[in-house]
Amino acid sequence: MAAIELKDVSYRHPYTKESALKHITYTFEPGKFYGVIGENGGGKTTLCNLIRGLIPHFYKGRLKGDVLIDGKDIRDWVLSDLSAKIGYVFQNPFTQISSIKSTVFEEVALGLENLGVPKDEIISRVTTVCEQLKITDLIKNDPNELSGGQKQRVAFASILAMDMDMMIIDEPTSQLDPEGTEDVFSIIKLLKDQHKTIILVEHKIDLIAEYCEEILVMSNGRLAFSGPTHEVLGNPAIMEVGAMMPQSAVFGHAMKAAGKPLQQIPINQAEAVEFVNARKEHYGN
Amino acid sequence: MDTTFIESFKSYQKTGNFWLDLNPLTKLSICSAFAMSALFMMDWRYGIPLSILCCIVVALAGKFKEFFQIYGKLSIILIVFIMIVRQLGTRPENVTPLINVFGWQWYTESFKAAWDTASFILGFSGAFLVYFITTPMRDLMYTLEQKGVSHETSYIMLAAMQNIVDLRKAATTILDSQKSRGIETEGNIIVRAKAFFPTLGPLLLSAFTGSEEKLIAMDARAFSVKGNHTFLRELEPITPKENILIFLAWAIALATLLSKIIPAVMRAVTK
Amino acid sequence: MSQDNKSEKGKFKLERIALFLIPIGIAINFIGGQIAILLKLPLYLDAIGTIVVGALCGFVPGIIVGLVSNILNAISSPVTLFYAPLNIAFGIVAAYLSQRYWFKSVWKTLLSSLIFAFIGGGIGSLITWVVYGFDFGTGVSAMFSIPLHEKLGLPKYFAQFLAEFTMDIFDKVLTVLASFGILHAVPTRFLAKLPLGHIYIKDSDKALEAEASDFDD
Repeated sequence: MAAIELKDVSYRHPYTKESALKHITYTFEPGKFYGVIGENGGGKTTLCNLIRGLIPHFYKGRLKGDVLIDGKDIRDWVLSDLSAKIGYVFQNPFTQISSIKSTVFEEVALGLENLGVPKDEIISRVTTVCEQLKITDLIKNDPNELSGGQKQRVAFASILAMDMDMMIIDEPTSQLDPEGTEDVFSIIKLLKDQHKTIILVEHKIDLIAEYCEEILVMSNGRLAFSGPTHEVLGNPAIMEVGAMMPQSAVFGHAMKAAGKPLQQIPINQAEAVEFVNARKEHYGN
Repeated sequence: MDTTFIESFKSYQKTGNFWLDLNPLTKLSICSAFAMSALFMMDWRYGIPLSILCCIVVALAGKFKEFFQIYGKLSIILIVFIMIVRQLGTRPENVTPLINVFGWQWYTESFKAAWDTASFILGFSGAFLVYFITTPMRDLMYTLEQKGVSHETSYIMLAAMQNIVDLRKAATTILDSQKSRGIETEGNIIVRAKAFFPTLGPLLLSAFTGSEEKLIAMDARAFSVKGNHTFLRELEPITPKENILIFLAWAIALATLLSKIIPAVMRAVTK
Repeated sequence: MSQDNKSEKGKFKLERIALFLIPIGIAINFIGGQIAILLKLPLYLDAIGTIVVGALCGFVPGIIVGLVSNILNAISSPVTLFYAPLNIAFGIVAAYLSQRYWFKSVWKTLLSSLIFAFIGGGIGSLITWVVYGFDFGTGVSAMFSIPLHEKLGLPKYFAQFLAEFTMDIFDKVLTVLASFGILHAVPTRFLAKLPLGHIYIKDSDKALEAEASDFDD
């Protein structure tokens, strides 16, 4: 059974003329890693809000079409049940800090307390997650006094600790430096290895290319392109709707334009090197 | 990794100090009882010793400095004001001269009345202040949740306190930067009142609309999930010894009430 | 389907979004005073949050903002607890007037300041009277109430009442104006989520709703 099914879904916020989502049809399968890219305002976050059930339960407005989560219509789900099922890390780290806990350790534990997890398990899960996100030297700190980057790690840790099968992650590295970004992405890879269903919204296209199995390109509320990563990211048409192509793919197209096509448009450095070497071997140039 | 810190969650939270480690509801009960007793007595001979007792308890709990910063200020302003206000104007009950302050005649009756009122307020305030200085709000909220109060209430109290800190900081930053840019924070009252709005409007608005994201964030932490919550940080439930203390405190409060009611009833009856 | 949840008494249902607005309203009450001091205005301005939340979310949220603000203030000055009824009343009146569209017009808003001043200054003076032993209280009002009593021969309590009411008017005028400003600056998208928000949505936005296409785009 598909994890999430969208059938001709359209949504308009109250008191607006333009629809935020227009006729989206897509199926998210369990255990797969999806990337969502596109220009700002294109509907990526709205899509996340929809899958997470915030549309229609929190964001009133007109929703048409069917959204099925685990086979059940989203309108029949209770929001609190969805929050126990789908983890959501979203963009703004500042509002994700609860403001009701005085140490980082307790902050990360909050979700587990709400889920009724026994104390000993809370302690071990929080400890593990803090190690994974390298915030162990912050555990006694006041979460409200952290920097943006630190808050983002703590927010990520808090959702990670809840160990959900499905996760929606919306730009989790916006406040992080390259090293922090790498840390977060290695954890996302861990989640992938655990066969969780992941939907990742990111602008860092090279990292998306590295980890995602399928890509959705959102533009102006529509699903402009979708499909396996290679197919979508190698397609120069995505640039017309504001999405970026990985550098390697740009390089691949340049090679093609120069009359020296590679076997496939590479989407990351490793592939680029591999294909170039393969070409050299085969053609000698 | 600070393992002692993590291990500390496995047992009840304790500081080692007798008063501080009492259950928050115990402390609340005791302090309320004494505050009420100050109200019932309305007498400087009770109020003043009570204030001193408050100072002693707080000192034994190691929080005297924070306590006195507030209590000291409060006391001085209160006493001075009430003294002066009570001596102003002609009052028929003033017959016994007390002292003459630069030609201004002070009377004993007003003096005593002032002290009675002042010491009630001091005793009342002192008792509650002792409570708040020695009990973190999150501990009180924890005990209330154990008694069945919803965690939404907890959220409101704790989030409000943090929001106050955050909003204050943000407001100060804005006002400081506006000052340096020369916006009219000096000048007459109308000018200053006008300066109030554009400086802080955007701040207040973004605080407002930020509550939407807060709702989503807390929902992502399963805040609205029904069913029993567990607690990482636990406090010891009220012990029988503590119940005795609570009983004693309220017995004292009752005694003070009766000490006022019984004579009044006797007087009414024998008239 | 709105996500309602109950407050601890189980008697009232609190809208989810109101729950998260309440702490913000409380914080706004607190900085009102801080700003007044910084701008050297001799005012409290400590009811803006109560009024705005009461106006946008209704009675219960307004009351909670007022009450909790009062409790938190009591931490540094426990006598404030006696004034809790005032803060609660502000929340109630704000919700009541908002439902009757008073805050949509500047003039009615200004008029409401008299009601709020009557509660704050007037009823407040009653509480002060009782707390301070049926005599004049501390505070700046004594400067006015005592002469009013002495020179004009007005009865003691009445003098106090008049002094505090008059002084509170200036504070409340600014308070309601600030509240008005906020109410009319909240974006439509947010207003749509609030129980009484629809009152403040601009007609031009309401028209958009009617115009909007029916998903054949």
